Amino acid sequence: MIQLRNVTKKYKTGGGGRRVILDDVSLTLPRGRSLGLLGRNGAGKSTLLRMIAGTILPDSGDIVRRGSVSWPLGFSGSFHPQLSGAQNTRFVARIYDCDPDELIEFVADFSELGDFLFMPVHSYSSGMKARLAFGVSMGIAFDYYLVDETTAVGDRNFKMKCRAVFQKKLQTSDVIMVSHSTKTIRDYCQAGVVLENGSMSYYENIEDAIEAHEANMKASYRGAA
Amino acid sequence: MSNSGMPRFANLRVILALMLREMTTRYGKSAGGYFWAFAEPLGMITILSVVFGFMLRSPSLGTVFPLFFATGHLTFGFYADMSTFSASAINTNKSLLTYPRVTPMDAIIARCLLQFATLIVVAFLILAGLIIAYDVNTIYDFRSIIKAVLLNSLLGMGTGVMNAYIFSVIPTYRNVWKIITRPLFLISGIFFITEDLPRAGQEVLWWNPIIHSTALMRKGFYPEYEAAFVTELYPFTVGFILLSLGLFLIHRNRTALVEEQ
Repeated sequence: MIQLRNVTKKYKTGGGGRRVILDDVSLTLPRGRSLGLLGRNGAGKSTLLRMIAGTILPDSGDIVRRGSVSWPLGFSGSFHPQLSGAQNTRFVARIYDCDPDELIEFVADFSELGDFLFMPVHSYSSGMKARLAFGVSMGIAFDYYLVDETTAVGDRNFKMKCRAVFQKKLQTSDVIMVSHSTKTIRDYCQAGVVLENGSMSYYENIEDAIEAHEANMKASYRGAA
Repeated sequence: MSNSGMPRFANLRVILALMLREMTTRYGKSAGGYFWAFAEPLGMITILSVVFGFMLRSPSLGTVFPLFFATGHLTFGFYADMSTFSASAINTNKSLLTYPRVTPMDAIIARCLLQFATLIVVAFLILAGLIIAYDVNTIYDFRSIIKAVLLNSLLGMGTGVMNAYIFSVIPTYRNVWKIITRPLFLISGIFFITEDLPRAGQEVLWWNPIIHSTALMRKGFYPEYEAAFVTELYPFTVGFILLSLGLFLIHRNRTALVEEQ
């Protein structure tokens, strides 16, 4: 369960204005249902995900987490370019308190990097980096996997593979996902949250969430026209 | 486990992982990293000894130029290196801060510990080498030596942590800082002792907290040197205030520091 208690988050914008991401939001996200985060561009979906992860703190209010939460997946910039994939994996294993050798074994098997796993990360292509990043996160057991698909990379084949692993994970873990594609959201998520004008609404059924989101988008389109 | 993945003040496991990681990235790749850790102070001590050896008959204390400059320069190094390495801790580890488990505080503590350990090894080996090579016979005052090292490390950490915060808020301050602290090397009692100076100079330089530590170090190696002007409480207070204020600011603004990337 992840619970937001009176959470407020605002950003100063260049023109002296304030962009409101969340305005005094209290909401309980139950365990056992994977969740899609919907909202227009710039509504703060990625920020919300990072707040759930804990890398960004709210201006006020609390976020209570029952269960372990991953870092936002889909970014591979945390790897040290001079260290090998295996050495980078070892570092993540250390900070998340799991057996480094087991994790490396899992990553070797999952990422199909072969000998590259023992080469410096700067020699990797972006696809290889993505495979390494995804392998590392899948090798650690979390209750919640946070996925920011807007920043994810990888080819079609690899995406299929991710899906297969995810399907297995979903039996014991939940996914909280940000994606531009409603199709991806439908594939993974049962429930949805729509972020609009600083408020957050929870929908038990993802279809209702998508509908509400599309209605918001249409309304603003009409408003602009 | 509840609330795992939540950032806290600092975490020993993360600090150890960061230290191991930095040891492999900074020193592991080639022997270069370790080489420079020794070569830089050793080179400086050699140059100072040669230059001053031509000009003067003997250093202000004792007869061995390299030992005189080593006790000054290595002590200064605890301030200088601790401050630069802790000031850049957040910037260098920025990408790691995307892991909720790694906090800016972890990054700073890891870097300080690693740098301190490196400096201790370097200082010990160079001083021991000089003592053996020049067959120095003296009575050591280890209390003063330890105090000198700890006080300058505290001052270095305090300055570095404060700067880590200020640099991230006002980036141009980094250049200003570089310029205004350049003379510090000249006025911290590395190639002189305070007592060499005229009275007015002594009174002004008393306010440089580092000069108290260099004097303490010399007191530890030269029993005839009293270092009467030293007021340990002064550098301690300055370092303590800087460190507490810096840590407070960084902990309080940890989100802003992470978000800046």
